[in-house]
Amino acid sequence: MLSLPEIEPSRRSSTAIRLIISGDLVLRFISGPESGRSVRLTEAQSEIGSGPQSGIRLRDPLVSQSHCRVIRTADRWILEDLSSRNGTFLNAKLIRRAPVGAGDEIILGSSVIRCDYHDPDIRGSRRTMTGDSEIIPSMIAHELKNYLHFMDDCVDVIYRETGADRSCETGLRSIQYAREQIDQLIETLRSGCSPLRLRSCDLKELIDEQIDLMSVSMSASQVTVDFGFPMEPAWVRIDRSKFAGVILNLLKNALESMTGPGRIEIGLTATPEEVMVWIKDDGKGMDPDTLSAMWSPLFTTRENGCGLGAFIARTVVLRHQGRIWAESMKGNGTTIHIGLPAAGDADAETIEDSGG
Amino acid sequence: MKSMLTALIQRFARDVDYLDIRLEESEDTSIAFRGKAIDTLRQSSEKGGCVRALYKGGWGFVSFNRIDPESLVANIRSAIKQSHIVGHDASCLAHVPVVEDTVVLDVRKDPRTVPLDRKMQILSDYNAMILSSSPLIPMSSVSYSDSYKHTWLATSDGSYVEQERIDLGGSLVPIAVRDGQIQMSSVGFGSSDDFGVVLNREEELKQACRDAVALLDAPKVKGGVYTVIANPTLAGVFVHEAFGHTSEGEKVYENENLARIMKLGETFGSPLLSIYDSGLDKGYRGALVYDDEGVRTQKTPLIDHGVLVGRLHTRETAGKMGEAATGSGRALNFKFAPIPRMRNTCIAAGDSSFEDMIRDVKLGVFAVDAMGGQGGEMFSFTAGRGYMIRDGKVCEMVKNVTLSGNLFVTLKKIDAVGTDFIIHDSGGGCGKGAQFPLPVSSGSPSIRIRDVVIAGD
Repeated sequence: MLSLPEIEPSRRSSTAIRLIISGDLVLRFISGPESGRSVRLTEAQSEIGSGPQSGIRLRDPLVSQSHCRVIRTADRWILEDLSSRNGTFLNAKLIRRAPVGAGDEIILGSSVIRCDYHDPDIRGSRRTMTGDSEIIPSMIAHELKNYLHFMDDCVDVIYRETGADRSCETGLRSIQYAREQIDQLIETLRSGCSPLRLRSCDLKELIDEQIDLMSVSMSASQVTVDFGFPMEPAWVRIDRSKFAGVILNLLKNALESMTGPGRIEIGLTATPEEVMVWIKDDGKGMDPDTLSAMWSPLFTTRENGCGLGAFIARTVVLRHQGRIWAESMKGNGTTIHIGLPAAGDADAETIEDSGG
Repeated sequence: MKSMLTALIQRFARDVDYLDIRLEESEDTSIAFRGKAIDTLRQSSEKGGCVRALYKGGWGFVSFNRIDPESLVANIRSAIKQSHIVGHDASCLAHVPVVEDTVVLDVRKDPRTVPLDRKMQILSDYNAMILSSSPLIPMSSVSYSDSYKHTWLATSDGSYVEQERIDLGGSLVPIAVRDGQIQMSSVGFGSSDDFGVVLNREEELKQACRDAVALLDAPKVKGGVYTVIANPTLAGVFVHEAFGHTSEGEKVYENENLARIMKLGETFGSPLLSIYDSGLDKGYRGALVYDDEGVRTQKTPLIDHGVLVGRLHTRETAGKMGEAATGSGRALNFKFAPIPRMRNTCIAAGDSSFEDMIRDVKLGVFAVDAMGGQGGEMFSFTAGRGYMIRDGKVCEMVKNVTLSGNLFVTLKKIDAVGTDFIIHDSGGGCGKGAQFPLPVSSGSPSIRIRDVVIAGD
């Protein structure tokens, strides 16, 4: 069992949080009519109640027909009361909606439930990754592989179309950019997880650059890109280099989700508080199980995938105090949403603790 | 409205065996506190409708929220099409009188005339009273909701019913906590015609706070078989959950085992026991003039002096079972089709005083109020609190009083029915499938039941 109670929640590294939720939540009934029963939550949502429609049906007369539900989000479990008659208590506190995890105690009617993570999953995760020291080299290998693929694509184009000046120019620019990224990643490999170098930046411009970088691979795959950007710059304080990797990873995932010609839609809206970006593809989409696991490290559905693209993207977004989530339906494409705190246009660079 | 709906019905009625259109406008307010924080403050209004079409026994149902003639026609066509796809049998609806009626509000105090900030203040005062009542009560759950509903129903039988309805209810729950132990007590109220029921609950609430704290110290009831006297509130919940749900027409129609047991004319209890479900008790949450199929509501006897005499029907369940419709076809709102539901389910008053009932009980449990319960043939209920009965006297408080047993066995063991009949309303409502919370009431006098199994250590 992975135990993390000694880590303050606010100081948990993103990696550690992922390790926890990569396991299913297990509810162990320690008193009440269901005492001794254990239920492993594998669904995106599990309703608990005494009614026949509840997935987890309790014989407790103090439990309402639809009492509460446990929701699995991209990065945590949420316990939500469903207007139950006798209330949902988490750690002896009446709640409406609250995060829930291992070690928490839920009281529903006369049933006391201890929360735990499903052991085999956690042990499985621990075998492969016990912390940043092991995962960072994997992350870097993944990133290096990405950039090398682009370089290969670009070099192919240069060879094939030596007469086409524009293609040559784009390809060579991409090679140069990729080489710079590889240099920085190698530096990270040497110095561990580097701190964020935050500075104000127009997110529109950064996304434009990444689309340019991907344009060769996209046109080779007959994928078109549609933009929906406002006229004004969208200022955010980010580590430009790391965030470029996020956008690139997500574009690459969108591209790889398509088996033939397709379309990627990219939109951006900005409010005084938050800049929102979404990347929507019309690729093969994901079933609920895949969707709920997509942010886990080393989770992949592709034969030659590393399973780190989405994980890295999420890690970086969370380190920027942002949020990221996905919507998807099998056969109907995927949309990734990213929200970042909006910033003024000041340009001073600050270096922040990596938090991890 | 009437001319539009009746014209549409006339236009399409020949394509199906039965057609109805129900339109609805509603306004709702909800307020809830959890501890010091406001948990919910919501005012909403909604407008929508639904079409039901019956063809060769198959129903098509379409609900919508665009109400213009063009959309209505499209939705009627869609419901008819659905019914033609699923209908392969014979349609069977109980015959009911054709009615044309308009039911206007007849209320004592309309909750819509009370400003939102006033409602908030009343609830906030109750909440503050709970939280300042004892250091052992750090939590509370205080909730209130009201709704106004205006419906128009036109059927291909020629009925047209326009109705206005008010419903309101709430509960005030002090939550006492000590060493991880949680105990609560509650004050509930509700009405279909009077905001006044929300007011002047202070004394009851003080008592509920005292009860919640006292439950922390009360010993758990010792498990065993006891003579139980259930107070009117608990007996009302029992009759609703255990017997009322079992009396819903489709339950009996669809379950052969239950149908074999629930034969009209069979004896289900002593001659002391009479149970009914009524929409006629004005002012209570279960009061209703017409159901959502346009059938006039009534007082439906279910058990008369121990003998099973009726059950709760929609027109369809009544038709299929060869019985009369009872005005029990209710839908939560326009998004749902009517199904058999309760209104105000009661055990009728008897002739025993409480003193008569308790006098010769050597050892028993006086079970008071209800925390919750599960009905059906095998039932289980937890009382809000209990008191041991020793040698004919109410003695110490006990907690965790859960009564369980077989409904039909237990009904026969009711051997005394009190004179202290009351109808009880509270917040929330009745849930069946996805249709929750439907306003209902329950009523009963105190009842004495022999040989009840009470779970315990």
